[in-house]
Amino acid sequence: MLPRSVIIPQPGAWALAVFMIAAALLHGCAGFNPPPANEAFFRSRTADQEENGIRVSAAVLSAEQAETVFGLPLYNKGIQPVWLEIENKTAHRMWFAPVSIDPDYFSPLEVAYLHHSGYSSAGKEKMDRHFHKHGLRGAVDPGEVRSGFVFTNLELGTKAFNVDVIGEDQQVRSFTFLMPVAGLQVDHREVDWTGLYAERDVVEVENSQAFRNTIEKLPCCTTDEGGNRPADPINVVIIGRGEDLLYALLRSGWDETAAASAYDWTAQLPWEFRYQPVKPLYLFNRSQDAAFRKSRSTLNERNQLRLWLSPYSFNGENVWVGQISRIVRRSVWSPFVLEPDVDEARTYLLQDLWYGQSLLKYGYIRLSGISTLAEPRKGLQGDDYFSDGLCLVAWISGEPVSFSEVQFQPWERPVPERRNLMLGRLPEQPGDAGEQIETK
Amino acid sequence: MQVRRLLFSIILIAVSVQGCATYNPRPSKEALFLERAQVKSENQVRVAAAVPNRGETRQIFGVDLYADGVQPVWIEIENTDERPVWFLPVGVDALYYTPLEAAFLSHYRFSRSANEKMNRHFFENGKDIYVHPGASRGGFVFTTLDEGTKAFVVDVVGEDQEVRTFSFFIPVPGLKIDHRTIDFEDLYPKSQWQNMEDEKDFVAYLETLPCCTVDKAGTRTGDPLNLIVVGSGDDVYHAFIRAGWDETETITAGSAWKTGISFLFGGKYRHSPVSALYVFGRRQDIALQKARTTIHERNHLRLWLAPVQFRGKLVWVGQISRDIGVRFTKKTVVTHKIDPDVDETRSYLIQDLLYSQGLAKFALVEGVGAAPIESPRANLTGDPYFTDGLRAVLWVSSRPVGLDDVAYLDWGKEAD
Repeated sequence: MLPRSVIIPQPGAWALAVFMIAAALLHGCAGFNPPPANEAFFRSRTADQEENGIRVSAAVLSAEQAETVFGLPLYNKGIQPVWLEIENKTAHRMWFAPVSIDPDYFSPLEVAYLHHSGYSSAGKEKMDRHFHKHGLRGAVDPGEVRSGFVFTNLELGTKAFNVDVIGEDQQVRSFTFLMPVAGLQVDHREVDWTGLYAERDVVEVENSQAFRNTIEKLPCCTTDEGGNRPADPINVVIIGRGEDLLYALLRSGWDETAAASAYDWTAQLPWEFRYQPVKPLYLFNRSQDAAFRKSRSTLNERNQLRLWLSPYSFNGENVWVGQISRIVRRSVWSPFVLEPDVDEARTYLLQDLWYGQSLLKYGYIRLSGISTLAEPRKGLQGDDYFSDGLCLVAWISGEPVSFSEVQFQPWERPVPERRNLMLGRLPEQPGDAGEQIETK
Repeated sequence: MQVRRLLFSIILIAVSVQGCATYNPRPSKEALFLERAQVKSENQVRVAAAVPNRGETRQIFGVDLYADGVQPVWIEIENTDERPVWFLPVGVDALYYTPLEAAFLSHYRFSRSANEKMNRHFFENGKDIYVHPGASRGGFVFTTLDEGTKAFVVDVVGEDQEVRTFSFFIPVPGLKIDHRTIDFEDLYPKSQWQNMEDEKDFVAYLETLPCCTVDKAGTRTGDPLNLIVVGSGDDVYHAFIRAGWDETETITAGSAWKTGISFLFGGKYRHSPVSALYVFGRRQDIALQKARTTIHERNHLRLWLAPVQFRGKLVWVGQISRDIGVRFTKKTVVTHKIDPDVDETRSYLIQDLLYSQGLAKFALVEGVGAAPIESPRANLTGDPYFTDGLRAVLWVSSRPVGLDDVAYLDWGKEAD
């Protein structure tokens, strides 16, 4: 029970106030003098798209550009301005929805307010006007061109976003952008994709049974660098274009990670972790080509996805082999451990793609036997894990797929009583469940 | 000093008790909360869902999951179809915890065997995504804690490519919610109610509503009333909760303490209370809020039921503001600083409801009175705001409305 008398801890508030006054005094009463916004230099890095009478250009400002345009270090507060220009060539009025770029976007005056401290009241007012003027707002009338900024949450690597323009003709025009942002040495940009496999090593697979046979021959697990010790299991295969896969993951909230060579030992504070390299695991005699991470706000629970481009192609599409796991820790001071039920991470990815409207089709192929709670296997760090031994196969689409269009490829099915099986209460009969159901 | 010594000995005892902890949860089948289960059926699939409160959760799992911000939701899916169906737990909570993750958060510090037992217990009570024909296994999905009403969707997809969506709104005992304490039936005498059929009458009525909220005495004006929400029954509630808005707690000493904590540490205390503003001579009927990254950044929304109906639907008058930070005042020590561009916040709400498919149609009317950026007005805490003077009229819907189906009614007003 909490004491009834406590209202607001005043000492803390006053200490903060004193600190802020002191900070303001040190800062002096600066005036706000932003340079006149010069849009020319980032226009050269814009992407231009047109659909159904609407043209949209977009540019993501780098840290330096943001500082040049607004005279303030916006990146330091986690704010990334996106510049947009919308031209309406239709006969209808159009509304632009900033939530389509970022559901948690900052309003222009919020950005200004976050930078107020240290400025004179005239400076604050000038700042407010400046941001208000440059925010993109309002409707775009027929024949009109409008441009301005949307203030989004900071993302390094590649910025993936939608621009939705909603017309009074009740049509929604959706534009998809995938734009590189300066400032992060992303792992997959260091890969020499064309040099990965010699032409004679590439295997083209054309039917479903042959594909299943090919995947079944993959090793159960990734390994350590020397290839001697088995590490975390291979449990994901993704079929599709790299660009579509990248967009699907980024839009579902996954972050890219830095190349291993960019590992920074000094960056150990929670907020510096976001893009840190993921530890290498090995397959096809090399460490992962790309790694992605998705964290909760506490950063103590993270999903990690490592992907390798395989030498196979299925009906002309790239085949990616991957390992997904979830790592957890109790606090910043304790080490990460593997969540023992690795199948949960695989299931999470399936849903992530499904809800992200990127999933075209899915199925399961067996890569290894069953390991139960009582007889777990070990990951590279010596953590226990158990699994039903299935690998998720997911087909990715570049176009949005509605919830009900997703198809199931009936190679194998998960065991209906998976929990009892894992607890050692069922005889092990892998594959049986799949054959019991007639498929049309 | 005495208190400190007492605390210390309690901690010592707690540590030594934990050291040789045994883990003995009670089987969930006996639990009383299942009597509160809601059941829904659609096309050969029956879904039952229930949410245990804090005490019940402690009984079922033997540990205080609510203290770690985890709330188990019990879901039973019965598949009487010939083909398998797949259940997608991210519909229940996009950030759901896996059973072993939830167990991990509760692990004892020193007792390995108790932790193993806990793992098995949590794992056994989890819920798988694959539901075989004829199967009807119940299990828990571990979600982020929502006090008040737990609103979630159970999406079940069949291999016949049919999607079955079940929406649940389950009240969880434990939180005093603003609008629960209000008797909406008796807010106005029967004679005062009027029903409007003609759109012109309705627009005229909306334009005569007061511009702003007032203080308790009714002498000073505050934030602008820039929202009108139209909907029947629970539409309002369902549309906003589906868009991620939280109910707020009524102010008690306990909740002010919790707000204080989240103010100092920037943590997310999603149910912090909302201060009172007045319209129709009373404080808000419903207060909702939507947290963003920290408590300093959240949107507040207050609604008052008006004594009119438009074509049989209830009409709510409201106010929305976006907190962009905190500042210090003499009177309340800390207060939220609102975004002076209140029209921007209004536009955010339209999009928010649009994208969560809770908006059927919308329009703009006069009534607030314009205040340009050069000569802003001030709210009750002295925050300036400027506006084009319009209020948004929002028809909300319990049933999801696709983005292409939302209608804009052109009443001749244009937002700046």
